[in-house]
Amino acid sequence: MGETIRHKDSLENVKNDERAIELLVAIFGVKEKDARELWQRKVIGTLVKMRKITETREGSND
Amino acid sequence: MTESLDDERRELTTLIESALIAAFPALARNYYADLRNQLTKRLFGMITTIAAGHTGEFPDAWRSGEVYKNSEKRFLTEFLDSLPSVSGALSSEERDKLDALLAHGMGAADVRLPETDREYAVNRFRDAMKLYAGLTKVDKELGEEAYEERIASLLEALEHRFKTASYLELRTILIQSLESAELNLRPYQLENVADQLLWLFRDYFTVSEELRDEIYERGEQRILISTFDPAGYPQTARRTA
Repeated sequence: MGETIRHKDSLENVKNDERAIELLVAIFGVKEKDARELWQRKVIGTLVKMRKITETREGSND
Repeated sequence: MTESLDDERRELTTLIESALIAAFPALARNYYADLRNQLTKRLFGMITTIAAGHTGEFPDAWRSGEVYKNSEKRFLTEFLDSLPSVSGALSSEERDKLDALLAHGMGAADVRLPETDREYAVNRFRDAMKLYAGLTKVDKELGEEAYEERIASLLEALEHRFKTASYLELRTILIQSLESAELNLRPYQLENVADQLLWLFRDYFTVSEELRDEIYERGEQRILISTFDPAGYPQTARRTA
């Protein structure tokens, strides 16, 4: 349970990384809302999926 | 025969000099004698190169216009490069003073650049000003055009540097984000995922809005497969189901 909360907190920090959103806007020349959509929904979604795969693998190795 | 060829060369040289003076009257002054001679030689070389192409030495290139374009480009580049010396070399004190003024001007205009980029900008800016000073002595319009071109090229280079720096910073943030998800990946795997995500971001923003979800899902699937199960992600998905 403690593990899950810790990962949730760290991903929350990633999600709120405003600098990443600023850089997406600067590099790709897109609107802030599009950069925010990519970072806060898509990228975070990918990280959650990756974390789940890792947890499942760790569980099956125990 | 030789004498006749020499005569023709001299005549051509005189014609080129006259044409240059007609285009840029200031070149008639003794002050610009060296520059005038240099330009005449360059133009003479350009004309003989073009003539060689015309007489069959480079027939394909001649037909496509490459000979002329290449010669013209080389001539213009050499011409522009020779001009800063017209205004005379700046002494180190003058250069430092000008650099300080430029740096101060950028600060006043709130141009926030990293130290190395600021130094680069000051150098390029100073060169553009020298070029402008040199060229306007010959022709004001030419000077302004060259100055604008140099400044446009400076801005483009700064934008490129800025994007490269931003790209590297975003890559670092991605690697840190992947680390914080504790995926038990080796450093080279984290870097690989970060690079794949950056490619995906580019693809994502390149397509129209309607296609973005599809592009992202496909890219994400590829990343998951290559990272967690090179033999095929669906097998892993079945195991996790």
